[in-house]
Amino acid sequence: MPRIFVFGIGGTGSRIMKALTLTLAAGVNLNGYDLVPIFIDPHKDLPEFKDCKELVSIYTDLHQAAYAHQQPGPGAFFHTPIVSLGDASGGEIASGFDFDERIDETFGEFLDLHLLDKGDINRDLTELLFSEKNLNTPLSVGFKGNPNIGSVVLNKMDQAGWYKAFENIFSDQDRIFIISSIFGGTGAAGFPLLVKNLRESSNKYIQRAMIGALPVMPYFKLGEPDKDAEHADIDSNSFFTKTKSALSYYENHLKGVDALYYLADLHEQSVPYKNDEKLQDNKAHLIELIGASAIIDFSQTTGGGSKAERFYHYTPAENTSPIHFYNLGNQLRDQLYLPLVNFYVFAQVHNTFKKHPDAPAIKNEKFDAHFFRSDAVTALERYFQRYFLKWIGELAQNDRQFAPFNLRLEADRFHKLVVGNPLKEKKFWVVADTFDHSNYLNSLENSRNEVAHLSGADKFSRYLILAQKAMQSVNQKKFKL
Amino acid sequence: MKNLYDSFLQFITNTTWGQFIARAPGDPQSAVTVKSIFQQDMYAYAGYYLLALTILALAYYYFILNRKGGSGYGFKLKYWIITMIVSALSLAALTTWTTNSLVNRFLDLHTFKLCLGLGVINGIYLIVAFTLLSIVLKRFSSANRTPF
Repeated sequence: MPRIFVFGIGGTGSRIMKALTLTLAAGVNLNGYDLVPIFIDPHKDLPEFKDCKELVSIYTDLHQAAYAHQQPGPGAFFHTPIVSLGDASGGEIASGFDFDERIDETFGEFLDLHLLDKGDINRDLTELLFSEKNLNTPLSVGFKGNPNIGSVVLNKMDQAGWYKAFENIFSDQDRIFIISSIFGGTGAAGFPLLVKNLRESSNKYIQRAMIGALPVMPYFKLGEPDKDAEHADIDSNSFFTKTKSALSYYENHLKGVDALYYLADLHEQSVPYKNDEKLQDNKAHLIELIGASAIIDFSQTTGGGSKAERFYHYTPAENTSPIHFYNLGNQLRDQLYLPLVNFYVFAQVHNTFKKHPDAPAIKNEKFDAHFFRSDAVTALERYFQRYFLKWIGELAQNDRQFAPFNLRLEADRFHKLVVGNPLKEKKFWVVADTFDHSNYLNSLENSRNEVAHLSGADKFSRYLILAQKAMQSVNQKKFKL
Repeated sequence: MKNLYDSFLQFITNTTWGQFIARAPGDPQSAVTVKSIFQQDMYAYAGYYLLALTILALAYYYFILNRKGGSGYGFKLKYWIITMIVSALSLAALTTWTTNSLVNRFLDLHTFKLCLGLGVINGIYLIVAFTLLSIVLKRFSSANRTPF
């Protein structure tokens, strides 16, 4: 299958990759492409970076556990393969999702400045270009909003083994997508460098590959930096200045990107994020979800034979907060609505499935206690709790709220689940017409004939496919747009 | 119908028709009339009631409570048992009431025991029929693993 190599640069790259992984888990379609994520971030200890890597890793495990022996249909949960570059290269490099190494030295040491004598003209030039603070910046914590440092460090990227491996395996139908922020350090520095290296690659397929990019402009702000604080390197007041500089640079020098998705949120936060990444608990943001949708959109665009650059932007139907499916904008809503509703409901009702071993589908499919204790199901539950539900909750808590679901439902009644689309409650005394977990439990049985052709498939695979069909069957009727 | 009910009724009431007629005070012709009402009318009514209520109960359980695309936890065994018991009790009550309304004019004969016996028999038959037909009908319903 053709692949999309997604380079996630810096913190924003990780966060958008996280949103993409979560939407792909919900069954959003990547148009038949395999996803090969490559993270580039020298700040290896950043919690959100580690978090995203773990999420992607669990996704690949779940995909492998479910679909190792057969191809799921479009729309199935976790159906898009996410492959590590190491695996895609056939073991040429180690398996994993980030390959740039942690640099445990300062920028000055990285430049081998100490090898130059005082008074050496090269040293003088270096000290002219970079401040003493720049030269003493430890690279293990990223570039701290300094693209002038990042552009020097990342310029060695094309000599790395992982990059060579990427060049070796890239083939005709593959595509490339780059995610970066342009108001910080790592992404702003890495993006134009990467594009330059790609277009100058020795692989002819890379030279003419379709490249999409998402340079994310400011969408949050940080508190005023405390001068005495240990972590006071980033000043969000400079985000717009940096963005303007980057954009004017891109206007004249950034060539070779076929599809550029520009994204920003000028909405002023009432409570800025803490300007200390150790204390920062940046909640998931709608911009990250919209950013993920750019990659999905890119997978569906055709090259058309034209190498002209195309520019895309997104506008919500209403500039309001909270945003939900009904004021999100039609195109994005159509892309995300049913998959996210299905997956959210699945995360809610999975425990009900476990608690009813006497339910027909659970009995017929032999989804017994042993199955529900298996490694794959445990990983799925971890995926729900630690990532998906947490992410949905965070989106609804951020200053720019994306609250598509009513997260506080009374007595598991789903009539008011989808914000903006409440359903009328019908009441009959003879016939139960409730709308709760039981609808999905019963739908599980009724959807079994749709997976009859998978009789020889692995149990976990059947569970995921059957659950998706059951969710879809109910939600399509109940929550139709 | 006579075969279905007559012997069982005599067994359950511990009274044969001969004993019933022999013990009748005064005019034994009244007891013969009662016997005739049971054998010619009531057994037929009871059979129709049994058929109707069994079908209704099964249809309710398998095709209304557990309809495809429906909600609720009706597949649980307790709801199947409840449906069956409620149907059996309803049928017993209906049969008893109908029978009694036809023969209660024979006050001296103490016919209520016979009426109640026929009601109980019909309730028992419903339980048997409900269980056997469930095995056949369950496969057309969402509750295809109930009762077993």
